[in-house]
Amino acid sequence: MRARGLWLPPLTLVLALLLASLPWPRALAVWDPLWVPLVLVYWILMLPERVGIVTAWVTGLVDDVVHLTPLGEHAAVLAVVAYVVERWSLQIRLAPLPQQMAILYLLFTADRLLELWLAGSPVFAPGVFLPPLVTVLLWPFTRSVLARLARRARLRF
Amino acid sequence: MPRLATRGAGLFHRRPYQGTRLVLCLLASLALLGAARWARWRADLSDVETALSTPLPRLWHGVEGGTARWFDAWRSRRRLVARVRALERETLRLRARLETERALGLEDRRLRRILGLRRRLGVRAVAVPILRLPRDPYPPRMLLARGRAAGLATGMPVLDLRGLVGVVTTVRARSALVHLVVTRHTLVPVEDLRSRLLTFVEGTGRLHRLSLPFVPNGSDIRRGDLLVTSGVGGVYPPGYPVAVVTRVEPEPAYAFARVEARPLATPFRDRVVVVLLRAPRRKTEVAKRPAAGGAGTPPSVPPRKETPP
Repeated sequence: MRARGLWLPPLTLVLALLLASLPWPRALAVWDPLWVPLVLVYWILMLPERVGIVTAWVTGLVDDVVHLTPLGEHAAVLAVVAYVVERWSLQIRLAPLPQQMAILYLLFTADRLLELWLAGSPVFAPGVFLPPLVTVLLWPFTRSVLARLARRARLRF
Repeated sequence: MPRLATRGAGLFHRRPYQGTRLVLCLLASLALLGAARWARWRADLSDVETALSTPLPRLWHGVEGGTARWFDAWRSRRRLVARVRALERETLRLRARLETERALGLEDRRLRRILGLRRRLGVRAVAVPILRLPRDPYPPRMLLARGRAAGLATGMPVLDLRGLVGVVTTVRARSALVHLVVTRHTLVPVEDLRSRLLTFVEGTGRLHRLSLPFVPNGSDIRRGDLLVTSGVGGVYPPGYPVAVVTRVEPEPAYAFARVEARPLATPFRDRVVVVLLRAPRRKTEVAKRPAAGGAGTPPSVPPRKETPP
């Protein structure tokens, strides 16, 4: 069986990057979801063989480029997140949705904390805890949308 | 989604190497960060970075700006259309108002002159709107919109902005009839303002011509002389312009020259005239004036000339 539809993960990642670079209204900037980790986590969970740490690192690199952060910062953070997800992907996949969301909330918060720590900004701010919350609330929705897209694209590997 | 058994998908995609991959990635990050911090090509790198990173924000900026501009254009177009309509309406309104204002201004100027006239005359006067001028100019008569109720009485002189119009002859309760000076055989005692020659003008029945029937040949009267009321006889107050001499023709065969004048009053163009409420009665101001020409001459007699013809 040949792999097919593998263009979907990169495409959605690019979309996530676009969304992440979307200029938000200042009032909503604190709530800005972590689009890239969100999509990335989904693909790592669904395609652990194809999407993994390296993909995450490269995506993070692109994110760095987009956000004009020092090259490798986001990359490292995303690599760590990807490592955790990939390491326990089976468990996370099998967990019921609330549990999944709880785990992902911790993950995203860790992502944010790491990011802020690396960037050298104060860690305890609303910008640390609100975006993961919004991201996690988006998780079921994202999951169903991406699953539907994958089905539509007859994603197979 | 069916999961297949792990296939060899490259070095970094094997599950067993998770830790290795992570460490490698972290090392790569560190290397990049360190390189960015210490390397000499940091500037170049940031240039590359900038070159790579500008398209996305610029794209968003463009999209945002485009939509904003579009919305803006739409909104401002609507606003402009509304504004243009409002301005057009305003222009129409203002133009109409301007016309009114112009008319008002004319009227105002007229009224002011009338007021000034009143002050100049020093007598009580009232501005009276003209009700009607009969179509038939013979005899030319003027109907005023005020009558006895406004204090009008027969014998009151009627003036307009330019000159003497006539005299009130009939008074009803709320209207009055004016006998115009241009009526045929109407005599008004006048004085040549330049030479102080006292004489009469007589209505010819033509609206724009008066004749001076009693000017002896060789009198000091010229074309262009201003004739004002002399006050002789007491009906008309002195010093009010009546006519301008237009023609002086000596007629050696007769005692009097042929002299014509153009009345100054324009009753057919006026809207308002002034009626002097108390005509100075029997008070000939001519007598008080320093002797000039035939001062104190009885009005019925043609003015005496210093130099006989």
